[in-house]
Amino acid sequence: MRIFMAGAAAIALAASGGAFAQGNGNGNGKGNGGGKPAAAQKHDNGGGKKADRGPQRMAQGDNRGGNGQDNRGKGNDKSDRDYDRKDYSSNRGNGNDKRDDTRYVERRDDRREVRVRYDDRDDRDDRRIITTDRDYRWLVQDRSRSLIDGCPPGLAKKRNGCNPPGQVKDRYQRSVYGYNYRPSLFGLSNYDRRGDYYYQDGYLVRYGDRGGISSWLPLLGGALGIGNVWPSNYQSYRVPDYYVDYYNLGGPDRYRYADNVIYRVDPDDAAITSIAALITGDEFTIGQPMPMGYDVYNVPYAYRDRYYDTPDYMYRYSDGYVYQVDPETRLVAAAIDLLI
Amino acid sequence: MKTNFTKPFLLAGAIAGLALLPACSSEAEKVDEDGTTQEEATRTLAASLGDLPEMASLNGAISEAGLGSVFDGPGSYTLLAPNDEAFNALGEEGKTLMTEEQRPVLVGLLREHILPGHLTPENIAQALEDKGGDVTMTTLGGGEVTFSKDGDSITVSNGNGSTAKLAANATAATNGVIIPLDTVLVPEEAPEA
Repeated sequence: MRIFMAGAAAIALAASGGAFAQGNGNGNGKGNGGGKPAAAQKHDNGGGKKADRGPQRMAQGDNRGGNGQDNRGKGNDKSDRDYDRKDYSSNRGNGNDKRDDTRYVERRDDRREVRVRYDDRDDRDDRRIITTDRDYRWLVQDRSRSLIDGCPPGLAKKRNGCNPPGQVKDRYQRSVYGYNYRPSLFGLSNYDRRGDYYYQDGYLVRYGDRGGISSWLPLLGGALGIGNVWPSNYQSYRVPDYYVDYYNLGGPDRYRYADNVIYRVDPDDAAITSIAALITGDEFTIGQPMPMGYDVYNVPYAYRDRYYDTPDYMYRYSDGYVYQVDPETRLVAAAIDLLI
Repeated sequence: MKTNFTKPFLLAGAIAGLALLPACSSEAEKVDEDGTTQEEATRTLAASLGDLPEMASLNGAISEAGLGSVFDGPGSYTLLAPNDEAFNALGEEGKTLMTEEQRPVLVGLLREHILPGHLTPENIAQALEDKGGDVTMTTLGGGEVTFSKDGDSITVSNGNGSTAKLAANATAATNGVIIPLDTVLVPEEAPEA
């Protein structure tokens, strides 16, 4: 009985998340806020001891910023960022990948070091907070895709597979919903919405002037189904090490990433073994407005008692991070590392 | 857990609740009394979904699509979960969707029912109240859904011609939430060219 009642109370609290939490000690926090260090709000809940740590936290935050700049070069300058992005998206060369590798390795080493050095819970909390910009080049690259030229290897093997569809054209052209295929029907948002798309044997294809298939994309559930070998011309990008750890991907030869989906593959033959994760690909940049589409409190179960909405801050989850956001300006104040 | 139900004055409520419990799972921590979210303290979203009685079609679709592993992993997702009746209502279209040839289309459809993170209906209701109007969430399929208040209930629309009502009794698992819907959110209108 008691268990039952306690459970009911707990569920009420958990279920209402942010709403109840506001009455739950937030008053203290506001008074102690002082300089209102980014992401420090959750400490207010604990009262005096933690609140006193404010300046320390700020100092740490600054240090982290410094490190970030050393590593990233000029990437932190906001006025440069847009320029950088364009640059990366147009230069999808190997050079960029190599730079990525180096820095990801540095970051991973850094985090391991942190794990060893900081046993104390409060310090760990501090290290969770990221107030520097993270690397989104992999997402920028992913967004700047286009269809792959030629005829898909799977269809090329079939007799007439790459030729015009002829009488069955309508079947390839119209979806089950009654209108023509579009990338968006397959969860693909990085491609030109205009134009004539066809669906054929697990691929999204387009036909060229001469009639045959001129470009293609493999589809999740079709050519990218479990057991199929990853098509080598479908560019996979390396995800940051954080995601390798977060989604437990293993190593770069054990996963592929494309179009907001992370696949696990067999390292020997690159056969897809499972879908590891779907991601939104939304960018939460510190100091910038939060992306649209996060109106509802959605912090994962395990973190809801720590990060709940208050008048000062709200928290939203996206792709492995919890973000602290100013409820009025909607500016992202900090990202919270869920691995440490 | 069983012993909690021996008190007579609780028994009636407990039995009523049990009927709604996913396959009388002994691990379900709470019994809902008024349609609030049930919590699964130790089970993943994938495991919870497998036990929900009204979700056989959806569960089958997710297995067919190979998405089960996503709901068994560390990522947190909320699944807008059309019940069996909702899938039945799709008729021939639904049957076609379940064929192997249409699997990528089915995957695309399912992705529009998946939201990032852990949203309970209570969270959605709170957001609706706080904002005093419709609220929007992004989907894992590149689209978005809009929640609205409709009297005492909440509806969700895909902005593409399809609206569903959130049924009571959501299930909160360790890595996400299952919110039952009475309608499949189908992209009914042609996407903008």
